[in-house]
Amino acid sequence: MEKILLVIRSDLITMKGKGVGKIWIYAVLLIVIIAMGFFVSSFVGVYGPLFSSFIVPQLLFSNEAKYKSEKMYCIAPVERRDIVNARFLLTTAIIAVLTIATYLLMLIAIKLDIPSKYSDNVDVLDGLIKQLHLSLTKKQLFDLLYSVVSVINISMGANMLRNYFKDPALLSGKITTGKKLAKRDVIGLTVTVIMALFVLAGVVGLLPFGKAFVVLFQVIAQLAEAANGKLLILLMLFLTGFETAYQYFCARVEYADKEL
Amino acid sequence: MKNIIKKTTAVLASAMLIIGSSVNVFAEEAQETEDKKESIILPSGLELKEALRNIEDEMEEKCSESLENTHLGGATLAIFRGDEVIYTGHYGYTDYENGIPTDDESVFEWGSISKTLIWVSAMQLVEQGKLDLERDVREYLPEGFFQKLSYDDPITMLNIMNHNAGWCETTRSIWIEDGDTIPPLKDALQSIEPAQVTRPGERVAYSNYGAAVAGYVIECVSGMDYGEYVRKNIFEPLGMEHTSISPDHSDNSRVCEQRKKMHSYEIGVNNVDMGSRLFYVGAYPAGSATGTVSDLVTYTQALMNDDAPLFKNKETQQELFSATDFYGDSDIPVNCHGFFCNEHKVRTLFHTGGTVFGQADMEFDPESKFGIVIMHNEGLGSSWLMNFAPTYVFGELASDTYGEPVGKADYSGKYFLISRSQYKGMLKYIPVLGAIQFDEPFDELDGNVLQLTGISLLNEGADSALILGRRTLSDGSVLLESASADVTWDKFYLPKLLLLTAYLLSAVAGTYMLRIRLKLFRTHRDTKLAGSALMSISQWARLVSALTLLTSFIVYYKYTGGIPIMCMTVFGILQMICGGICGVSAAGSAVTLVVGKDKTTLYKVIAALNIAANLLCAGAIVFYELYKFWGC
Repeated sequence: MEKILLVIRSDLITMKGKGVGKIWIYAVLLIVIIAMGFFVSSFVGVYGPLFSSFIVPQLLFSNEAKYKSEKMYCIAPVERRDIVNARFLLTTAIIAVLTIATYLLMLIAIKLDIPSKYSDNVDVLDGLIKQLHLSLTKKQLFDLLYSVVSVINISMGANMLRNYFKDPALLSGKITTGKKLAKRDVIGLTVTVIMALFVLAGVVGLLPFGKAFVVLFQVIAQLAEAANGKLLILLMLFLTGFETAYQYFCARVEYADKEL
Repeated sequence: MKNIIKKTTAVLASAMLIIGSSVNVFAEEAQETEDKKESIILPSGLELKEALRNIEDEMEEKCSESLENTHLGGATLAIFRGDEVIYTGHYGYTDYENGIPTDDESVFEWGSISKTLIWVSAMQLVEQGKLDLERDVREYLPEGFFQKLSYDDPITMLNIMNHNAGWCETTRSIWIEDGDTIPPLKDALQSIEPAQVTRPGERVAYSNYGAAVAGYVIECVSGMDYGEYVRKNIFEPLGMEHTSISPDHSDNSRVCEQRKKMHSYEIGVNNVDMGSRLFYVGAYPAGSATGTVSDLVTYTQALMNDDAPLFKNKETQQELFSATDFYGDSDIPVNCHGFFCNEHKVRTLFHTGGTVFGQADMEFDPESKFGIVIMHNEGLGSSWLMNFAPTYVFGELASDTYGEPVGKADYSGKYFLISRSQYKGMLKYIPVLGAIQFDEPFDELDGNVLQLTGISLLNEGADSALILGRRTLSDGSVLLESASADVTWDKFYLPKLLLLTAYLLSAVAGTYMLRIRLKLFRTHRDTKLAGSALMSISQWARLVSALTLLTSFIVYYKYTGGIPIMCMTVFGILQMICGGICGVSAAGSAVTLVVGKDKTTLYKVIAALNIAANLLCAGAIVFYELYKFWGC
């Protein structure tokens, strides 16, 4: 535990410096989303945790990646597993705290329901309940959507951290330049093009997406109503745990094999 | 000559004067009639014009000329008093693409209103002395007709009319897509027979199967095809020339032609034009009638007519509308020989209907002779017209109608399952997904009647009430019944839900173990760290089982409440194989734990988790009968 705390302290020190500006950008973005959650619709608050999975790993490790100081741990009296344990603990803890804090603030927003006091517009969540003929309350639907986004968020954060351990350059999300693209870039580009064509075909009407999406959405809505949404929320929470644990396991294995 | 011209001119002028004044008189009379109609006081206390204004304002808001923007497919509403139709309204379109509005010629599917034809037919046969409502229906049916009864108790026509014969919903889809494969009624019934899960008379659970069996009883007793019986004894005497009863509408060419022109719509997140597709009902007496609104009005008017044109004796019609089931222990009727009772400001008799392609409502007050008929070309769903239009006509139940409350009944924290659901067979998990909770306590009235009070739609500051009956069943659970739905308190709901959740989680966990195994393989590490090969196979089995369950849910949803036989067979066999693999894997891990030597702590933990996950999966497959590909 001592070594884990040592690594965490070290990472926090490394984080300070030229990257501090990014913290403010993220803070402002989060404040804007939370404010919109209070004054426009609590549905906006669902997006609150979505950015933290991109931003938190960047904030924590961009300086180390930039100055290539990860090799410093070769001479430090810590084992690789301690580094992985520490960073996963730090990253997921920060993302989880931000997620929970945003959630609690949005609960207050739902309770206050400020938009209804000055606008006749139907809230997005109420509109969804009506359109999908759900028997969930506004709060229950919010809980459900928030838990789905949180799964995506925390899983993505864990995945980004795993990618960082594989190759710090991946943190910046850059693709390789030059005459020869790396294999992963080729795969990534191909998948992106195929998905784009798929979506375009659906939009244009070549593929009958509309009906399929409506059916899928309504099926999920039916599942969402079981125990007032608690079934799906429980599944989402476990999914978050499993996915994070898997990414952690992969990071442990890959970092152990990595040549520094 | 001049005289002739003068006389001719005088005659012409007189004629014009007479005709002109006649037109004026007719116009004045028509206006007077219209004014008189609009000032008719409905049972709700509203004037007709006021009620219509509310309805038409709402319809104007909901209807649009474009399918993308509309909140209503197409609908027709008729309000009548006795033999007089005092209002007919047509809204929306039967074909948005070609701009064909709903009109008098449009045909709509009756859905379950078709069941009232069975009840009327039954009473006609009772009148003739050919049918006894209190005799076991097996006496009228072929030997060995029922194969899945759980109780020896007699099942009477009254049980079927009251929907308390004890059948649950069938797992097989009642809809057939190919019109060339519609089986005879007897074969259709035998292929979809559900299990009998409660003793006759104990629990109300709306049953399409039960009603269709009653239709077959009509066939057996009358010696005529059911459709032929209805045509001869109901449609023809009433002059209902634009209604069909056959599942493929082959008994009425006009209806067949019109139905093929009618598009039906799904109105929701995205409005979908379902075209003029047809689904056929094999057990057709339960819901295949299709026709114009004027024919349904004619039928309803006949039911309200004191001369009882559908029966030889007026007393038969009076008996038809006498109560056969009551709320709780009270004398407030909930069912009158298959016709449901609704408590408005006045008591009405009604039946609604819903198919994949239409909804309909028929409601009338035999005392005041007012009636309302609503027909839609939207599929199963929630219709504003059906929910609220009858309230404008018949008013609302006041909260003090049945006396002051004597207490409170608080069921918060308890889960109620809908009685009308699959309680046997591979869809046994469906009611678990649809549990209901009551967060607000009920007012308790005398006679085990519960009441919920809400805000009045019609009168500001007033309230309106909804009543339910309460019964305690033989197993101690509580049944709450209303005219539209019955729910039963399930004491074991949470364990059932936890089992289902654990089953799904075991599949998710298995998937991750497989990913870990793959990772170990790719990094040239010992894959036994992720468990043995048998464990790996069982992880695949759990994943396949969960995906099969999710697929069955999608198919059930697509086929509106049932699964086709082919799909059921595939799902059932897959689940059997998966359950078997899980059982073997759990047994293998148990043996290893007990007998195996030199196993690391990590291996023991993985083995223990493997046993737990596989037992949960196999247990869920057995408990939820996911393997039952032969039906209920």
